[in-house]
Amino acid sequence: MRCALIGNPSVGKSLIFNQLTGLGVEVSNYPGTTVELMQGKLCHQGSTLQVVDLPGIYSMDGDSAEEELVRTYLLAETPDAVIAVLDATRMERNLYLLLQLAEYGIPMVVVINMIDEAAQQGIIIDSRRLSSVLGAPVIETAASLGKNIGEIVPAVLSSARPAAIAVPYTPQIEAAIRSLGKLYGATRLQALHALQGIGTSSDLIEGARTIAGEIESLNHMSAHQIIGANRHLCAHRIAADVVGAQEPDRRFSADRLLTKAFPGIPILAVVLLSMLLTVFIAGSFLEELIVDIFTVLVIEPFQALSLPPLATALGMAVILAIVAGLGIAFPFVLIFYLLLSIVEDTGYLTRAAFLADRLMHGLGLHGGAIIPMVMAFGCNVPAVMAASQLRTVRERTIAAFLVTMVPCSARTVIITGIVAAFVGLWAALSIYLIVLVLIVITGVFLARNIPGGQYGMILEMAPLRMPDPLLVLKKSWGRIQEFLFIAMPLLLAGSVVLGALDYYGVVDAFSLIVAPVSEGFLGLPAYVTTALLFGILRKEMAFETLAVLSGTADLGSVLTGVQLYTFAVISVLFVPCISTIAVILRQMGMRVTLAVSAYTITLGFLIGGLIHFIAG
Amino acid sequence: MECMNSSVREDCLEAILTLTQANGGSVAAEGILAAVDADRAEVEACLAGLVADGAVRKDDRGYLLSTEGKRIAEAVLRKHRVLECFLCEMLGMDTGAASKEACVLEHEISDEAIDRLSRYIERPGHGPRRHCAGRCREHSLLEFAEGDLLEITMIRCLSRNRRLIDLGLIPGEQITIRRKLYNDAIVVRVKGADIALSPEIASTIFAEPVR
Repeated sequence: MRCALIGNPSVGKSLIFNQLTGLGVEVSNYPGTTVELMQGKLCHQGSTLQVVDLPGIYSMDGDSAEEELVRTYLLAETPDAVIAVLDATRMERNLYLLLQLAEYGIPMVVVINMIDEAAQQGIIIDSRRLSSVLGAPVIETAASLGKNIGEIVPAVLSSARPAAIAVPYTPQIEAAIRSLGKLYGATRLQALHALQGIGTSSDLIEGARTIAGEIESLNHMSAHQIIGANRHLCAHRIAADVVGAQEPDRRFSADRLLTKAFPGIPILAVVLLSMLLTVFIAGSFLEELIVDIFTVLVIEPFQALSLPPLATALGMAVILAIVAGLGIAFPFVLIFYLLLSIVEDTGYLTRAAFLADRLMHGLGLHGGAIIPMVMAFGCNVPAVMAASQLRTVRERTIAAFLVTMVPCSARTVIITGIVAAFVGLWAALSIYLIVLVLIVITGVFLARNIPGGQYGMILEMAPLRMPDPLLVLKKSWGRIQEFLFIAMPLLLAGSVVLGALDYYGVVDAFSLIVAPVSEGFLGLPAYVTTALLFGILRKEMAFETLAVLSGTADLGSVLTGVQLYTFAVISVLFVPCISTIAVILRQMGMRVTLAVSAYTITLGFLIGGLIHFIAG
Repeated sequence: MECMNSSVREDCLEAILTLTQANGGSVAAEGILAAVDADRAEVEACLAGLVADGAVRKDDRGYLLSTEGKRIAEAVLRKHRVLECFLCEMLGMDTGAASKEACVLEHEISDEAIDRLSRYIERPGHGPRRHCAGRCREHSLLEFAEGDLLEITMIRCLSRNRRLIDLGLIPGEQITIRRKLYNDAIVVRVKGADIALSPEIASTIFAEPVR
């Protein structure tokens, strides 16, 4: 038996899913989309239940990627039951989605979550009354306390049934549904979809468009809006029936501080900076620890083996790649994702989006784009995916440029490992400043020169709450898996190839070719430029390759401070890594990919040349 | 003499329609002559022409509209009413002057312009407009302050921002402005949830204060 969890964003769906399924969850992209689906299995008294956590949505009839996915999932792979999760503190808005879901006629169990929070706000819900109105079982839960979660599965297995409620639409819509049924044999659901331009049958859509046009000219309102208003009215009536009168909530809300220009904006700056500094400091400490352990336990014993030279060269390359990979994955990427998940789950990120909205307008984006921009500090790949959810081509293009310029954790490793370690902490921070300035300049330039209108942000402020530690861990683990299982093998393969090339003298030959540009323009020894090029494979490989090629981990002894600084700036700026290029190509197309790559290469070498010219 | 002036023709039809609605039955020639602002000879010629065209029937007590005549008359009358309403209620003109002005404009204005004007006056989802004699203007959300309780009256280009509908931001809904930054980004509370809006979105939402 299969069942799906459906609800508005941030109603505690993931937490319920987590408590139902425990560990052993499979994350997969729904075919043809970038939206993630979480699947898990559980057993209850001998029957197996497969649970799918669908993304949080506001409407079943919308046009965002998540909304389309939920719709196609329910129509194409109709589950045996759905668990509709409602937020007890926002019943009316949540009932709007429930009424849409009811039209699909799938057996359902209604879960009113966050009943504890509602009780604190003085909201009383008559769930028995709701159950009789809907004709489906209703369970009150508090997922953060684990209350009543155990009742969900038995209810799904024994008493889930299709909701017996139908939204009363205005006579014109009802007449349209009837005539579409008569003319094209459309069901009520199909007719409602068709009136809003959704569906696969072109005859039906065409017929519905004519009727919808008539309805619009008669009412001066689109069919979509009338249908929406009817549903809201119906939801309002049900809510008035089952939700008790509520005292105004006079408790202190952190939003009194967080969303004000002061102290909200300073708080935002402190939050972002402290995230960065934590990654920076804790990351380099842990990385050193990992490298030390490996040196003592693996590298030294390996060198003591005194194998044949080729085997030693390749073996060392593999070991160095593993050390470099683990030295980034756990200290930098994992710490960043942990912090990001915490900030996300508290609901603070939506406040950040609100505060940054106007600032982002200057860059041709809006507050919603702050989320991919912050994610990019961890890894550009998921950030590009998030950016491709923006609404217009203009926003997506600008975001693709800016996101790839944000220093991801691999680039943070270069900055800490090379500049902070051998030049100084302030020099390291100055690289962030340079990048920030370049991002702003690029954004302002693109905003002025890419045609297209500016769409704004419509964003629900997620309720502020304590993040669930287990959920944070799980989310971060899910995110770091991409790094471990996709990037690490690439890193290993790249290292072996590099080791072999170096052994057979190909790298030296290449260095000779690039020497004039490298030494003349950038003031860097030729092998350093070779290392830069390997950075395209994976950014941190630039660092690791540099160590391999210069034959020592103590880079300060072979290169000057300015040379190290130039190297770091160039490798931070120029060309996103191969995985980022691949994901931009998939999401945004060839033109944007070429433009982003060409722009960043030029920018990297120009700024590098400039630094050499000024300081060298 | 053939009636060449189409506005007098339309005025005649309109006069017959209003007088029929007021008194019932046929309309005497004297009534039409009094209602239409033109030469007696011209009006009579027009009436004869209308009878010849079949728009008006003549019986022993006076004139009656045919189906075709009634259709034209109703269209003209609607134009008159829409224009009068616009001039009086939205532009704040005196009622008598507005009616006179409407009498002139009604003959020239296109069907499309009248449809749009009518829609503009009635405003989607708001039913018949309340009378506020020209003082009532449209206010976007940006013109209100933090803490104001408002009722949404209209949203421009709603089809472009469908999410607003799904979040419950529709005409008739009551909302509170929770936060307004110096840069016009705002947070509104609707149906128990806080929604952040960019200035350009907020400027398409119109509202009036709830007293």
